Amino acid sequence: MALTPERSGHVGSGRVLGLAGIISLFVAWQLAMLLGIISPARLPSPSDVLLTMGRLLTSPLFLADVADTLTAWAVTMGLGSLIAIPTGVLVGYIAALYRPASAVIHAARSVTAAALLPVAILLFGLGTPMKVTLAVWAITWPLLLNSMYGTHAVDGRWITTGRSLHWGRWKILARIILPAAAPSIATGLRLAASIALIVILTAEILGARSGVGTVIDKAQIDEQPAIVYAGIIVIGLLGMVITFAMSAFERRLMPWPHANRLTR
Amino acid sequence: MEVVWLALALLVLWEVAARAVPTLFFPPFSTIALTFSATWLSSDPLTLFTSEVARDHAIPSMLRFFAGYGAAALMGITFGVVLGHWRTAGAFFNPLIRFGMSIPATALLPIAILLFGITSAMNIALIAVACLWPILINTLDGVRSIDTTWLQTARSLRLNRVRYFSAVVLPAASPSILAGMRISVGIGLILIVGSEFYAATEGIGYFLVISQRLFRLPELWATVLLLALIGIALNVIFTLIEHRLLRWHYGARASAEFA
Repeated sequence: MALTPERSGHVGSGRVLGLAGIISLFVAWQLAMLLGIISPARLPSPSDVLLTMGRLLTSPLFLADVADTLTAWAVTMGLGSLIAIPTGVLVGYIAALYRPASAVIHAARSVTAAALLPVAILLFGLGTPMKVTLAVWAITWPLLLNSMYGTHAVDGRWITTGRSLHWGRWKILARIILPAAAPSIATGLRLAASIALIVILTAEILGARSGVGTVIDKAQIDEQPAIVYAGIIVIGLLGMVITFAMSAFERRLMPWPHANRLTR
Repeated sequence: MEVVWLALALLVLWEVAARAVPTLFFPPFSTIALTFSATWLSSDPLTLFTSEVARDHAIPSMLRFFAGYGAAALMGITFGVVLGHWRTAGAFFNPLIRFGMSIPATALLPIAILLFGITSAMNIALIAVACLWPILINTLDGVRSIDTTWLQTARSLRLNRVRYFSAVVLPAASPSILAGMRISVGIGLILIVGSEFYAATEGIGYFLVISQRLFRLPELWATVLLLALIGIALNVIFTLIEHRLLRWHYGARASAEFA
């Protein structure tokens, strides 16, 4: 076997291999069932899970739960961005605030949303406001940090250029600083998107009243492993869809960082 | 001081606000600090100043954390190196890894309970699975992006396989690996709480839930503070280890900037 990494022939072979990987997982899974290595009480067969997935995805009750989770996610992203991005840009702009604010944010970050869940339940109950509050807390800190860093790290020469063109403070902010900070902010938003989903799902599994997580939780208590596994696969797919959508959105909205790389 | 003034100002603000508008849910910081020392600390130097509650709950949680984290690090680095080095294997497992990465670890709590019941093994397994992905993916990335000049030099020196991996591949990928391990520390801490929420009989997460059920807000906040301090401590220790292990990397990067 070669000691240096092999180079794959074409891009296509990577996709084929990936597909083979997925198929092998299902085959191995089915084999484990057939050979009785794992009892069906603990691990349902792949066909069971796929059928249950189909049932779930066409059931209006489940889709209502999915809508519930996605609504909470959307509200979180909107609220979080509204709070964190302007504050972050402001703090990044004022040089004297940058390091003290970073210290505060890193300290606040250590208080994870998981630890705050009991407090949130006591304060807000088990509904969507609790989920949103917890998730907004969780995404505020990375969003703040990324916005601050993006604003702080804008090349000083660009700002000087704006000043020599006699641009006022607001014009410099809007036409130079914000676009330059946008890639950092976008990275923060992508991170916030997955964190928000994770926190909302966690809150649902650990006690909320509605949402996809509660479906899985109920199914585990009712000892319906097929629904548990099907639900988890749906959640995984949901996560991948959101990640993909955010990346595509970012590329459409902000072509300039990528264009920059092409001209180097 | 110029760095911490903001933090101190906010703490003072909290203290003043909590005393001005007394509410059950947000006790003043001084109350929380007092409850913290009452709950988690003791004056007995023989037990390293930890209270009995601390030893009954914090130690099992931290043991589970280290067991799960250790397992994740071992598996993550091993598989990361294998999958990063042999491209075919990497391409084979790529969609599965991406999928596994997209599932929040707490969503696996029901499965973990199905498979392991309510035992310590369940907590450890959940922490291990959650911490696995950042380490695996970062190791994989790190190994893939090793400068091929180094690898070819190793080959022309006819290094045997063991030395190749231990002296060239692992050190070269170590910045990425350590970055992944750092992320996993944070995730593991979340999972300590998450996995103990309703499926444990002792532990920090368990204590958190009990305090909530009994409406003991100061104890609740004291536990939140404990978790925060543990997180900060682990991060500091990790940074120290990282700085030691990566001294060569900082030196090389610094000299490259002047080249």
